[in-house]
Amino acid sequence: MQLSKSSRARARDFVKAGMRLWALVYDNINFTLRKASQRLHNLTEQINATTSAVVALPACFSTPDFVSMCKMPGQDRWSGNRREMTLDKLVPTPEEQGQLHSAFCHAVRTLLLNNLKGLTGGGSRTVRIRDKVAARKPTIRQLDGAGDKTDFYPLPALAEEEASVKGTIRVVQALICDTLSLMAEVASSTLRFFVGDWLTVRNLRLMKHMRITEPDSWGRMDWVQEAAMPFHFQLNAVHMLVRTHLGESDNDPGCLDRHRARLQRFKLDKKKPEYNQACELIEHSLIARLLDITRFGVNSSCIVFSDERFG
Amino acid sequence: MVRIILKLDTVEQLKGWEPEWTAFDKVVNEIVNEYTMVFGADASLNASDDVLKHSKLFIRDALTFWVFSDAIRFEDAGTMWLVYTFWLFMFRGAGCHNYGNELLEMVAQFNYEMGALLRRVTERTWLVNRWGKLGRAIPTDRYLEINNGFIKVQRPRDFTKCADDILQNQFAAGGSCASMSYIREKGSGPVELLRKLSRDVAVHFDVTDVNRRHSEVSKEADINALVMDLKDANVHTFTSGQTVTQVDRKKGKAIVDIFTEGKEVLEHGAFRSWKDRTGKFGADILGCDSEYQCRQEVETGCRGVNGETDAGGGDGDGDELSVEFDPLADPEMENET
Repeated sequence: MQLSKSSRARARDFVKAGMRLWALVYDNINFTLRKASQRLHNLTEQINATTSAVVALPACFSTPDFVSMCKMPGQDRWSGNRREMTLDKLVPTPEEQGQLHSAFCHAVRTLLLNNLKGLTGGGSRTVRIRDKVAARKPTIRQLDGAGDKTDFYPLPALAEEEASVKGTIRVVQALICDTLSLMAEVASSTLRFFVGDWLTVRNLRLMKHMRITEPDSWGRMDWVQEAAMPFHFQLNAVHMLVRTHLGESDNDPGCLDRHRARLQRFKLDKKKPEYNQACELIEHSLIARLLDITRFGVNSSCIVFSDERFG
Repeated sequence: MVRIILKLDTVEQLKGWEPEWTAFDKVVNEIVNEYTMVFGADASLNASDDVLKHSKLFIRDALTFWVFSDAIRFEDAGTMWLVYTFWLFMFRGAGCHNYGNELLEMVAQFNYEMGALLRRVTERTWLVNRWGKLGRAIPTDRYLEINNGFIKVQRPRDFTKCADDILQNQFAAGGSCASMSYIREKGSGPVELLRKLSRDVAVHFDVTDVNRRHSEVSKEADINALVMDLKDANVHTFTSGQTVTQVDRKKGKAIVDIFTEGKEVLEHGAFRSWKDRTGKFGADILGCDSEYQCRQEVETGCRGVNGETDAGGGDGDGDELSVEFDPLADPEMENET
């Protein structure tokens, strides 16, 4: 209890100090209470709560700059520029394809380096190659303050469900007013970042749309800036990979399901595979394939390797 | 076209390959050129070997995922955007419309609406770095999911075997403590502190789970088994006329290039209907900018084809709404699957 209070006080102090920009990340947490763990009745129940945390952004962003930027009239978010967006502009350019090519090269180099038998150990040749691989790592643009330690301020959970638009409104208001005890005017004076998964972000947009006719900024909630987070993109990319490549074990010897069966793993749900299991299978399958195709490439280009050695 | 010179019979023989940089890099380039650059109409894709084609597509898609994960670790927003550019089509092609729409929305906001500073700050909210070391960043939502995992009940099923589990999760709600008030008032706020506390206790009594690696499946054994299987099945040797048929697919296509597929879906109306839907507010379903739609109707002379091809676009395909995952899921949940 005391710890919870002080964790909340810590977050409040940080937010009120206003020295740094911050983002609020929240998501729902669901507990299934089984029959066996019930005391009063024998029904299975679920607890739905919302957990959240304040994440401090690096100090390199200056708060006054950000606040004045938000006040600029040109920052009208829905200026309609997106009308200029066309499908042609979305198609990857040759330059982008080239960038992906070099990113792929780095990926294959790293994976082979870590898995080729001839490149294990700390021999000088291996070290040379490892250095060269590291030096050739393509980096396009790092975030501001990359590598800085992030400060976290986890908040006590709310007894609300954020899965609906109404729930989202309650969650946003409760987080700002109760948990962080910010005044409405203060909260709505500048953009506040609320980040989460696709559903969260979508609900935030719908919320703003619902409130569009409110007279004041606090009511309109146009001070809420949403952002979709990368982990859920990773999650869905894995779903995408499994959906596309799971295949039918019988007639496709190169499909993922065949590899799963070979490794005697649990079956993967095609629609909603378990993330860690699927990641592991994909990674191992990818490495095995790369090694398998490496053996074709080696002969034509090999310098050290000679035919006599292996007949 | 597909140049494969078969002299090395098994991957085992690769052991003897001790390359210098030039040889190594040359092989890598060949692999990337030959097996992964299959965006768009690539000649080798039209070849009549479905098995090889499928493997190539898998390698491409899996490498894209690897590149993204690597970019996250090194906080490389540029590379993340690069992958998003391709995923925008690939998600669509695989039928993951929700996240496909989200990517469109992100491009619209970042490239057409936000100012430079807002863009930079918003991008910064994507990732966090607990240890303050370059190469160790994780996504912000993953940080929260990990916290959630620690908050969750993790009661060992067998108390004698999992003595450390009890110690490691001594603060977790269990039994009658797994209640809303417990989570609100005790479990969730100080989760970081409790985590540290339980670790310190475990360290003090020397019961940290240091040997976890031993209980994990050996990666090498997995790879060796797969390598043998790939060789036996001749997956990467071009065999003309190998086809893969799939019975339960509505489309009748067993091998899908999700990039090309996604591009087609977007071209055939999905992009337009997304644009019509979001017109002004970016709300994705409701926010239909009537003024814009009128103009479109005048321009194209027909009514918008709302949701014709964009199957399940905004109305949410039920399963994706509840897409929720926890890296340290409730063990009882795992029992079910």
